[in-house]
Amino acid sequence: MYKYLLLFLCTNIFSQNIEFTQNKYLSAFDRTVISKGKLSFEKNKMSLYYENDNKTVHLTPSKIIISTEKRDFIYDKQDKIELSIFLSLIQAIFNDDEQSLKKSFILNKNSHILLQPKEFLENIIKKIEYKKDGKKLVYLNIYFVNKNRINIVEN
Amino acid sequence: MKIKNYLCLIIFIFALLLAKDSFSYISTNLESILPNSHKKELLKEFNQFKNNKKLFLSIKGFDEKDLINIQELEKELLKIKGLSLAKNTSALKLKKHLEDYSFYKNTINKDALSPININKKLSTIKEQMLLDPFYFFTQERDPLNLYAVKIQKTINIKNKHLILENYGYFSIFNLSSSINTLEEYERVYDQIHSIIKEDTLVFSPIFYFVENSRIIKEDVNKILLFASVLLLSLYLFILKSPKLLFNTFLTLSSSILLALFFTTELFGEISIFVLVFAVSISSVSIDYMFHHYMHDYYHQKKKFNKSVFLGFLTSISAFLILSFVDFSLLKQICIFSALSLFFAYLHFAFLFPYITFKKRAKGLPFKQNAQKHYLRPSLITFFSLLIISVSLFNIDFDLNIKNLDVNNTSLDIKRDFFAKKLNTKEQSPILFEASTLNELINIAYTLKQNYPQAYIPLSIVLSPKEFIQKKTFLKDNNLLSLKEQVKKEALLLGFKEDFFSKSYSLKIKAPSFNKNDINNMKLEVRYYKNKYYSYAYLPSSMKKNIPSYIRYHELSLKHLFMKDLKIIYTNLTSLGILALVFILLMLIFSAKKRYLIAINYILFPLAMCLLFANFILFNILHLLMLFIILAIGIDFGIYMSSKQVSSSTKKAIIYSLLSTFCGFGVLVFSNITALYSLGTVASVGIVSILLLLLNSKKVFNDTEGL
Repeated sequence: MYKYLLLFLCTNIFSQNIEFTQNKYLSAFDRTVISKGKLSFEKNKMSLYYENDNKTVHLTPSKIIISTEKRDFIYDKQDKIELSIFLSLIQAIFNDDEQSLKKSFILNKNSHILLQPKEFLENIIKKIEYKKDGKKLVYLNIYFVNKNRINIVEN
Repeated sequence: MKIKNYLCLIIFIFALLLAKDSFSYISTNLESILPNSHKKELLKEFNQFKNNKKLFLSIKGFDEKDLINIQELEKELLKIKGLSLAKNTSALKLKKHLEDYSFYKNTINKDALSPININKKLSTIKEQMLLDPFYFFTQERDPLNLYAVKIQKTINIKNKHLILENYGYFSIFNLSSSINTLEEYERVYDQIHSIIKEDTLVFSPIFYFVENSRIIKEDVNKILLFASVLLLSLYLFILKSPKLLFNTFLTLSSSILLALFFTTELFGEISIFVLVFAVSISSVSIDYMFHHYMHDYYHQKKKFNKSVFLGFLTSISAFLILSFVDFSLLKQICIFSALSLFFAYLHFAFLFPYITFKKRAKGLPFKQNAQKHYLRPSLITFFSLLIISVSLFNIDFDLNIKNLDVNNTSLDIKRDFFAKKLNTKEQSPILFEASTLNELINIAYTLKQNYPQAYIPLSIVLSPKEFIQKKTFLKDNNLLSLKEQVKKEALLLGFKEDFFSKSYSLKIKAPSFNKNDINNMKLEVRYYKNKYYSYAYLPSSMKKNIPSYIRYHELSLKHLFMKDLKIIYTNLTSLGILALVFILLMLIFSAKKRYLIAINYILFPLAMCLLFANFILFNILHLLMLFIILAIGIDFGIYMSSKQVSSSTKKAIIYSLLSTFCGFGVLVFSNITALYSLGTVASVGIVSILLLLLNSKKVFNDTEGL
């Protein structure tokens, strides 16, 4: 009994949960879709969950796991490359992992941080802007080449 | 002090000043010894391709510390001028070309074609965009998922870093195209090796230039030092005159320097092997001094020494005849040797008698007209001819020119490791050519069609041939109007009009490339002598299936020069036979009745060398040395068949042989096949001449006087 209690306490002490609001502007329809989501960070794992959606996506160092109520689907990162890029980006921004960001982006620090994509990412992403206040994400704007935009704000 | 005592020193200083810049033209690169041919030029062109300017780096293990280690190494390496991380970036013009022709260039997944329900596909996209919060990237270029996804199996990624499967983290660097001299290669090599640790695997094709050059230099220095010390000790022991030794040393040095100056002027660049040969050949040129000195020509006023002159004339003529061979290294060696012998002869025959040196080495002044031998010369002639006729047909010629280069196994292991991990071990490069760039790109496409796994950088662009084939395919599958259909359905579903504007664009005009595109698109193409060249890495087993209309060249040194080498063997043999005929004529002229004694000095070493050749893989340098030995051997034949063979003559010959043996024999201690080959044949030849000499009874009886 004590063992389970200890495990429960440890899991909650070492994990970090962040709630956010996502505004996704879709240029194809000139519409904005708003979703509320939750990010949780554990050791070697980041999970993303949206309200009103039946799945949770987990990012581990080598795999992408999509959990539904019925079962888990496990993929190599290469097989879910777009999801992997997005989640890795979110993870690096929340963890202030500039080294990872510099691999795919050119970093410019002003009142906010501007990321300009390098190599193949520049075919998809136009630019990224984000601002943090300490650990808290003030905003994250992702501008796509196809004129779509994603805005994420930590609640 | 008389000025004549300083003449050799003055000439030496003059030669030193003249040749001081020539040392910078000495090359350690295998290229400098390759036969001059169109293929050699092609090889140089191939070495300029970006693919040969790569650097691979790998650290064993997939732990976090290994990732940090490789990232730190990358950071340090990027500080080196000319080094950058390889990226998947294309030139703007190439990007535009690929975007314009994406409908033709992308492989169409045939399963997705039957039947295409455009409305259903676009509806799904719309639903995902609006309802799936995890749907971030829209495939507006290929909304119908027609393009087959190409999976690169050879390179994997872990923690956003390249890895080599079952080994560890991996990085690829590009070397700037401005890095193309040995000095630059050495700078980069040294800087890299000052950064990397022992457990790091690092390899670049340019390392061969640096490491092989250093191996050769180290070996050459060892041989030069060894030969110089040995020869100087021997001369000091024989001559017992420091003044003569000093002047002889200056003479030999001047001859080498003058020969070096004229040879580099003639060839532009000469192989370092020629320099080693220079010391060896000086042990032959000193013979002219021995013969003059032992017969007291430098003290007593004597007439012109005809035997020495004939010996010199025969040797130099043989070298000049052999210099007509079309193989840079052999040509350089022959010209260098002829020049070196020429300058040395002028010194020893004309300058030394003027300076005057008193003979200190003892000699027994008696004359002997009749030659007596343990074995009859006719018997030696007979056996020599017998051995020659048997051995001549059992020689196995080495047609792989790479065997002459340094065997750098430690670097070969690293190269093979990366080739195996990157799945290119079984592939070797070919260079294909065409008169126009369009034709060249068509060839790249054909090769890629036949061997999809092959690495063919030029196949990245859409070839005119592929354009026609793809257009027919699109027409046959009713895809020519796909863009319009998508646009129409998308509008009905509420998408913005231009949202899928980049999908399935159908360019009407076939692509066409011109010379400017090589730079604008940064294509792996070289334009050389009115032809366009590019390369492909193909599995060796598939090369025989390359269509006959494609003109290509295999780029392994073995294959590239195999035919040339065969021609050179024939060429050198013909020239060698011509030299041999000349030598025989000189013998008849000089030896007259004692012809049989003299001819053995050619036939017996020839027989022994050919017998030796039966037990080894006989290379082009063995063959060259064989003829050189005959050219040297003839000197001894002429001296020994001279009317007045005295103990001084034999002493001079023994000394000459000893010095020649030291000069050439030390080459057997070389680790470089080219030098070792020269050394082995030289040793066999010189020992054979020594045996002949020992066969002369008087020599045996006079050994006390040596």
